[in-house]
Amino acid sequence: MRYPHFLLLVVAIVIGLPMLVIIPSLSELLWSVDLKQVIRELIQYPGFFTMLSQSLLTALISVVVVTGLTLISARYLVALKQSGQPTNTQNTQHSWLGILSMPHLAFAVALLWLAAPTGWLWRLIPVETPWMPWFDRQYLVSLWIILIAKELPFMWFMALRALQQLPLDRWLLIGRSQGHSETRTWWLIVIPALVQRLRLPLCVVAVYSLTVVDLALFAAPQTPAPLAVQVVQWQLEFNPLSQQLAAVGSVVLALLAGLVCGWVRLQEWVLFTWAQRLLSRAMTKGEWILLNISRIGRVLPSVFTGLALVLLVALITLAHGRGWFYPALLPQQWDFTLWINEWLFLANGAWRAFWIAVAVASISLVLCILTAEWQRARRQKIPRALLLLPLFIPQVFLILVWIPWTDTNLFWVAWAHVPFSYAYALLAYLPAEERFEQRYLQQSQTFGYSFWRAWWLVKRPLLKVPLLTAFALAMLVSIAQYVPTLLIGGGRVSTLTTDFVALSSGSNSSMQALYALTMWLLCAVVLVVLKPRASAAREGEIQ
Amino acid sequence: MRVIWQSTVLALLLLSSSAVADSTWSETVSQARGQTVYFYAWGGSSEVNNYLRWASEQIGEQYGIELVHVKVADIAEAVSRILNEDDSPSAVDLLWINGENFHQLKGAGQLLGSLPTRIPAAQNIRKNIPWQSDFGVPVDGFELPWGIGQFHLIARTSAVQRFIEAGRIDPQQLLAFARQNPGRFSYPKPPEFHGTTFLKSLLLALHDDPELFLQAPMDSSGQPLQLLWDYLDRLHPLLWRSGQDFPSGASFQQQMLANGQLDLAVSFNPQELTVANMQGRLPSGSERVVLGDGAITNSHYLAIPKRTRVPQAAQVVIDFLLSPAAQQRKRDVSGWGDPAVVSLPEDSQALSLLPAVAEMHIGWVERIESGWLERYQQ
Repeated sequence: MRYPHFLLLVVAIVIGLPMLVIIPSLSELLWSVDLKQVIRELIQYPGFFTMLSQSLLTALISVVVVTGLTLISARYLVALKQSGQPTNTQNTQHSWLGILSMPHLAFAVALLWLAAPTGWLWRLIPVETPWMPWFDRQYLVSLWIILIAKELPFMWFMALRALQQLPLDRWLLIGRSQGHSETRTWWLIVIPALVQRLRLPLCVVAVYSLTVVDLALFAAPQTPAPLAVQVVQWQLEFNPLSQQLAAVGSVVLALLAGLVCGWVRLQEWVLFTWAQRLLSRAMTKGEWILLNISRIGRVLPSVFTGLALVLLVALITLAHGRGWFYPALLPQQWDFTLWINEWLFLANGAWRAFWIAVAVASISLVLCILTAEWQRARRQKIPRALLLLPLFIPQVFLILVWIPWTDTNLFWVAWAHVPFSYAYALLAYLPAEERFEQRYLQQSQTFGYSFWRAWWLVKRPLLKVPLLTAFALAMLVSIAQYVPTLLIGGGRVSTLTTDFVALSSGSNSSMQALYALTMWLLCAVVLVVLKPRASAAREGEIQ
Repeated sequence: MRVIWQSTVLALLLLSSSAVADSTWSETVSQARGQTVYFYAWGGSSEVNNYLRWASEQIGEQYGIELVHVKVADIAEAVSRILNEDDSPSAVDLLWINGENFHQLKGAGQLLGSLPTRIPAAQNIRKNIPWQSDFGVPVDGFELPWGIGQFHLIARTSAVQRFIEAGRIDPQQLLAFARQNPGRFSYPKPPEFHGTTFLKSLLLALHDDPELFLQAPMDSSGQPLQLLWDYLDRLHPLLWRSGQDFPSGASFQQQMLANGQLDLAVSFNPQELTVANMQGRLPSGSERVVLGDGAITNSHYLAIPKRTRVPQAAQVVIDFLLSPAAQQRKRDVSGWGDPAVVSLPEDSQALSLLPAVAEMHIGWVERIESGWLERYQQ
C-alpha cells in the first residue's frame, strides 16, 4: 500500500478532530477559574461521595457479574464437533439476540412493568407479598439487575464472534489427548484466550455502566443520583458554577472510566494466573465443585430467550391496555386504535432512523478498515483507549461543543453519530482483523492485483463475519442516539428514538410501549438481516 | 436639549405605533407565509403532542406556515442548544418555557422582546391572571403566557378524606395523614419544579407573614426557612422510603398513585385529574386538594429566540396559539385540558380554577433549593 499516512489522516479528521475540539472549551472552563476552588465545591457538594461510590460500585458489579455469567455460558453458545455431549441446537440459534436488539430504556420499562412489586407478574402469582420488593424504580440493585441483564446478551454476542475465531475443536482434541476432561480443557485453555479477546467489550460494559444517564435516571436512587446523572443535571443548569462543576465532574468520570478499565485488566490477570497454576496441579475439591456449578450457565441463554418473549408480550399488552391499575390482572379495556393514529409518525421515524444508521454504519466500517490497514502498514498499534475515547467522555459535553461547528441537517447528524458507532464497530472488527494472516493479501498482490482489489477479493470474504458484526453493532448504536440527533439536528431530524425518549419523560405508558415496540422491531430487523449465515461463519474460521 | 429631542421622537413613535399596528401585522403575516417554524416543546405528553398536531394543520391552512413540533424530554436541552450556538441563526424558532430556563435565556439576552406590542392576540390575555412574573422573574415582554399552572395535590379520596376540609389540606393535617399512613406520600426531588413548588407552598402555609416572601430576602440568615426545615424533619421519616429518596418527577409519582403505591401525587394542571381519568391514566376515586390557603398559580409561556431565522412566522404562530379558537380547543378536557389565558365566550373556567396565592420572589427559591440539598441529600 502506498499511502498509509493518508488513511490515518482520514480517520483523524473524521474521528480525531471532533474529539480534539473539546480540549479548548474544557481547558477554558477548567483554567479560567480557580480549579482548587471548584474541586472544593465539588467535594463539598451534598452527597458527592455517595454519587461517586454509587457510580463506581455499579460499574464494578456489572462488569464482574457480566464477566462471570458470560464465561459460564460461553461454552453453550457454540456447537462443538468434538464434544462428548450432544450439542443443544436451540442455543446455537441464538434467539437470545432478541434482548440485544431491544433499546435499553424499553428493556427497563418492560422489565419493571413485569417484575416490580406492583407489576404484572405479582398480580399473576398468588403470593402475599412480592419476593423482590427491592426490584423497583430508584433502587440501586434494580439498576444493577437491569444493566447486567441488558449487557449479558451483548457480551454473548461478542463472545460468540470471538469463539468462532478460535480453533476450539482442535484445542479440545489436544486437551483430551493429554487426559484432561472437556470441562477442564475449556476452562484452562479456551477461557483465558476468550477473556483476552473480550477485554475491549468488557471495558465498554464497565464504562457504559459508569456513564449511563437515561437508565440511571429511571432506575437508580435520586437522593443523590449516580455521578453521571448529576453531571448532566449540572450541564443543564446554566449558572457558571454548575457549568464548572459539570466540567470537573466529567473529568472525574473519565478518570473513573480509566479505573474500571484497569479493573477489567486485573480480573483478566487473576483468571489467567489461576488457569496457569491449575495446568500444573490437580484441581482442589472446591474448584471442582465450582466448575461443575458453572454448568448452570447452560440454561442461561434459554432463560434469556424466554425473557425476550415474555417482555414482548408485556410490551404488547401495555401498549394496548387502557385503565390498567394495580391489582387488576387485565385492563378495563383494550384499544387497538393507537397503531392507526400513530402509524404515520412511527413509520416516518423508523424509516429515517434506519437510513441514518445505514449511512453511519457504512462510514464507520470504512473508517474501521482504514484504521486496521494503517496499523498493518505502520506495524504499530494505536492505543485502544484513544480509539474508544468517544465512549469515555460524557456525551452531552461533546455534543454541546460540536454545535457551533455543525449545521442542522442529516449530514451532520450522521457525522455526530459516527464516533460512537465507529467505537463499537472497532470492538467487533479489530480483534478478528488482528489475527488475520496478512500474507494472503501480499500473495495475491504478487499476482498483480492492487492493494484494495486484493483486499476486496481475499480479505473481505475471510473477515465476513466480523465485518457484518461490526456493521450491525454500528447500526444499533446509531439507531439508539438521542442527544446527538436532537441537538446536532436542531429538530430538523426527528427519529423514532427522539420521539421515544421525549415520551419516556411523561406518564403515558401505552404510548411509550408502542414506540418501544417499534424501536425493538426495527433493531431486530437489522440483526436478522445482517446475521451471518452458517456457511459464512465457517469461512470466518481462518486458523 | 438632546434628552428632550429623544423623548419627543419616542413619544411620536409610540403614537404612530398603534396607528400602523394593523398594517405592520398584515405585513408580518404575509412575510410569514411559506416559512417553517421549529417549535421546541416538551414531548412527554401525548395529549399535548396531539394538540400541536392539530395546531400545525390549522396554521398550515390559515397562514401557509409549516409548524414543526420538536419533541424534547426536557426543554433545558433546547436552552443549552441556544446558549452553545455561535452568532449564526438559531435552530430554535419558538420555545415552550418557564421558570429557570426563561430566567437564563432572558439573562443571556437571547430572547426577542416587546412581544405584547408585536403580537395582536396579546391584547386578549386575561387581566386577572398573574402572568407578568414567571416563578418570581419579571417577564418584561420576553415571553407570553400560553396556559395556566396551579400547584395542587391529587389524592385518593378514601385515604385522605378524614384529613381534608373543603378541598384543602394544611401542613398539620398533612402531617397527621402521614403519621397514620406512613410511606404513602412523597414529593418530587427538588430542584424539579413540582418538588420546589411543594416546598414553597408549605412555607407559605407555615409562616405567619407570607407577605415576607414576595420581596427579595433581606439578610443572609436563613431564619424564616427554619420553620420549613423543622416541619420537614418531622415529615420525612413518614414519607415513601422513609424520606431517604424522592421520586425523580411528577409523572413517576402519578404512576405510583395509579399503582396504589402512594395516596397522593402532585400536579400543575388544574384539569389533570379529569384528563387522566378520561385517558385511563389514573383510577377513579381521586380528588384535587389544595395545600394551604391556595394554589401557587403561574403560567407557562411561549418565547422567541432573538436569532431565529423566521421571527415573523414565530409571531404568527403565537398569535394563533393565543386565539380564542386555539385556546378553546386547548382547554377541552377530552384533549389537553390546559386552562385558557384569554377570556372565552362561555367562560365556565372560573369554576375549574383553584383559589390562588401569589408566587414567591426567586431569591427565596434558590435558598430553599440549596438548603434542602444540604440537609436531605447526604
